[in-house]
Amino acid sequence: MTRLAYGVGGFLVFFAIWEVVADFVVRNPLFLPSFSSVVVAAATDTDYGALTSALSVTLRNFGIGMVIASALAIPTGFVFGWYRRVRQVFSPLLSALYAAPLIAIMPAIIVLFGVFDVSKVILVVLAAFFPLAINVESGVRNIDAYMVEMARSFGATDRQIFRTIAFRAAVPYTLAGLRLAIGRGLVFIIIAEMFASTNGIGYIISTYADTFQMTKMFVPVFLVVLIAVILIAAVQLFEARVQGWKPSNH
Amino acid sequence: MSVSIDSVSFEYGLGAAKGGLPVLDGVTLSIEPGAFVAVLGPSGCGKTTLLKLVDGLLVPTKGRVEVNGAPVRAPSPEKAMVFQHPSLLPWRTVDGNVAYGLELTGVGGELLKSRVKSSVELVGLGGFESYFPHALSGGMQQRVNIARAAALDPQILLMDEPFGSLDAQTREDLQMEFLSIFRKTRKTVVFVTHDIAEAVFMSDFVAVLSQRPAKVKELVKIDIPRPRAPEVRDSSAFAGYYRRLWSMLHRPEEGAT
Repeated sequence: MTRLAYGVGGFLVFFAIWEVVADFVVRNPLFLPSFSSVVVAAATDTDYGALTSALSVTLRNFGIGMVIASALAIPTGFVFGWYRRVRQVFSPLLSALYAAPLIAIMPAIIVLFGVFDVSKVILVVLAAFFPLAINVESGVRNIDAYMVEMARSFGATDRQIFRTIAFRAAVPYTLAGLRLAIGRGLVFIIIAEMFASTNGIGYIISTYADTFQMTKMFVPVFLVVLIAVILIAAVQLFEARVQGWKPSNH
Repeated sequence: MSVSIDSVSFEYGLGAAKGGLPVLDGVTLSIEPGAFVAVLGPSGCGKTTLLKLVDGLLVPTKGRVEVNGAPVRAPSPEKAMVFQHPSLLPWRTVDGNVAYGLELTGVGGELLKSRVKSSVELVGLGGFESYFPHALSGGMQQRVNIARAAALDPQILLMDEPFGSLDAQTREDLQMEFLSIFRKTRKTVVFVTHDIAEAVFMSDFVAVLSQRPAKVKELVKIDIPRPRAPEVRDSSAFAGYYRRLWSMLHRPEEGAT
């Protein structure tokens, strides 16, 4: 509970600085509306019906993308981590693709798959796949050699070592990767919707931005941030449950 | 079960260009059933390698390792290893860790439960069954390590400096306790150590290894009656063995610097 209070405190400091910078430094709501004016807009001047339906489109595409990305990335990470040869051949490629600017290939994806949901889902998959796969891989690769030798001395087969050690040891890495993937996936779906879409939260953001309604624009931005925070907190909560054996270092 | 190590040599492969690093050079050692044999030698001389060869984790480059007359090819449940590093699975409780070796060999159900229970009690960890390793002291982790091996009820226990990383007092406590476990269960024990006092106090025979590549320099019978109380360490017999082994370890050898 005190940790939550500290976390909220951080946000409050940020909002206070924002308020001061907007009111006394920038002094132009067209560039940066003050935090309080965004709160007022959220309370009085927001069409939540439109926002909710946009959000449901965004979250559906994001969710489908995340499920597909996890289904592909987690097994890939395990295969890469477990088989040295596979890793030697493909790991540099994986890192290169992770670093590749996805934004640059977005037009190609949209040309190929249209401005419809499919291209958004594909983009989320591409954004989420790499951080997740790379994290799972390092989790499997970094299993304790002493543990493996101990298991072998008890006659463990490769399959048993995988199931009882590698699989379990990769859990925290997988969840860390999932947190990164959530953040990255959300960012990219919003960008995709801003560029080429007629629906979704990103579309609403770009509509407000194009018409210089900066105060209103920040409301959906906040909504996205809130969703990211909730999803990441859910992963952390799950992690605390399955990793309960870990000594707390907070 | 008897263990016979017959002119065993072992080289670690360093790749095609460099060839091998010879670690053991014709080690011969014969261990009677129920004997407690300490393997003593300078650090880095290949003691652990020898133990892994007996366990079947490694295969000799030359020579033969036999258990009860049958060549050792792989780890098997009649042998169990206690490692220097406790190597506990951090996400399993004491019970779960003690059960691990049994699970791997396909033991389950009631048999698993009763073996785990008696093994946990054997090492004096009753009441700590549901603790996770991070909550245990080094000495207690080593007890779990021993219990995990003992749960298999192996005929041969292979112990790799199991008390090496513990403080002196915990080490002596565990030595005493392990001797009483040994008396109760009567396994064949091969116990690797570089601690001369530990070797003399615990074993029936001490095999002294030379520098790498190691041979058995000498096999010393320790004629001190069991059970051995801590006061044995003050006896003149103990001091005599200690001095003898000390000078063997420190005697310059041909070809060595």
